[in-house]
Amino acid sequence: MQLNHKWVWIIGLSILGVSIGIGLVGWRYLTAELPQDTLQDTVIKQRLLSTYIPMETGVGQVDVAQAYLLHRYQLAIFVDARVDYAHQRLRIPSSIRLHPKEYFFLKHRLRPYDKTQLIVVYCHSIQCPLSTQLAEAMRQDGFVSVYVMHEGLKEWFKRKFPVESDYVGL
Amino acid sequence: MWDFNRLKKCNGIYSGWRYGLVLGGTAIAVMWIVSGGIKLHNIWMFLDSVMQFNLLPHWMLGPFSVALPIAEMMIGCGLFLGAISLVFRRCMGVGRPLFWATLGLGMGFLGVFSCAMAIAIYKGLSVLCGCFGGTDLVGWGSIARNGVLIGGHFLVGWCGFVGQQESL
Repeated sequence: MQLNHKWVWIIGLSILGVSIGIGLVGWRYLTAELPQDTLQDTVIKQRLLSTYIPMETGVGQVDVAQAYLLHRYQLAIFVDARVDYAHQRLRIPSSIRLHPKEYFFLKHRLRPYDKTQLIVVYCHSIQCPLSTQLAEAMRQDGFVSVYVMHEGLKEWFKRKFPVESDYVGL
Repeated sequence: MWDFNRLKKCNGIYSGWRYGLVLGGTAIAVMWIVSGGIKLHNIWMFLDSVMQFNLLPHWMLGPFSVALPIAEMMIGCGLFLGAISLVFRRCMGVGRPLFWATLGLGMGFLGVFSCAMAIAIYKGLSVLCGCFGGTDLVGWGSIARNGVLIGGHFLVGWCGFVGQQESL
């Protein structure tokens, strides 16, 4: 039996057509309860964040992907719990360094920020306890939304998310 | 020219292309279904990834981010059914075109994804890949992985071609 090329095209185009149809209908269904300007970045961002990022107050954990979204949309302050030389060597861009042992001497670094500001604390890796210690200290100091990026900078770097360094070539 | 009979008569049974079709076809079909399913499950994350690529007009982003996972799942299902149809010689009238159409679509999709990634890399964009629901940034590794997957599609297609020769 010879292969009928016409049917290959018909089936291929049908799959595309049905997908596009479901896409149009599905998108209308998904955005039925949203405002009319649903294609605005802000609406998509809000939906994305409300779906994937816990916004309740307290000390919790976020994974690297959630932290990346928070960083990209500049919704959280990133605090590096490691020591100074490690921070200088490699850090998440625009993060603040604050070692838990130095917290009460250096907490003025957080003074510009509101206590309700979402904060993500990170350390080197999942084994590192500093981020949890710092998050606890910050919570006791009155910060209400402190999250620990428990996988640490190691995983962040591994995923090729943006980093910065004081050293040339890193 | 290839002597397909030698392949077909491997160990006295028609084994080579059948195993290739069943195992390879199923693996690729599962890959497409899982990939589409994860994208649908994380639809907002995927939509965000599509937005970051900056390649589509704004009005298309939403429908596209729903349509693409659906198409991927349909490709997976079609490829599996087509491969099974070729191996067991059932419903060949629909099975064979279904197999080739889904295989072609799969390779086309991978090619388009690779082009989009290459453009993103060229523009220096930091884009979440969105591949398999992952959160890795797009890089040359993603394009290489797509190349490997296209190679897998070629292998399955070759097995299908051998099987088709037998059924002639």
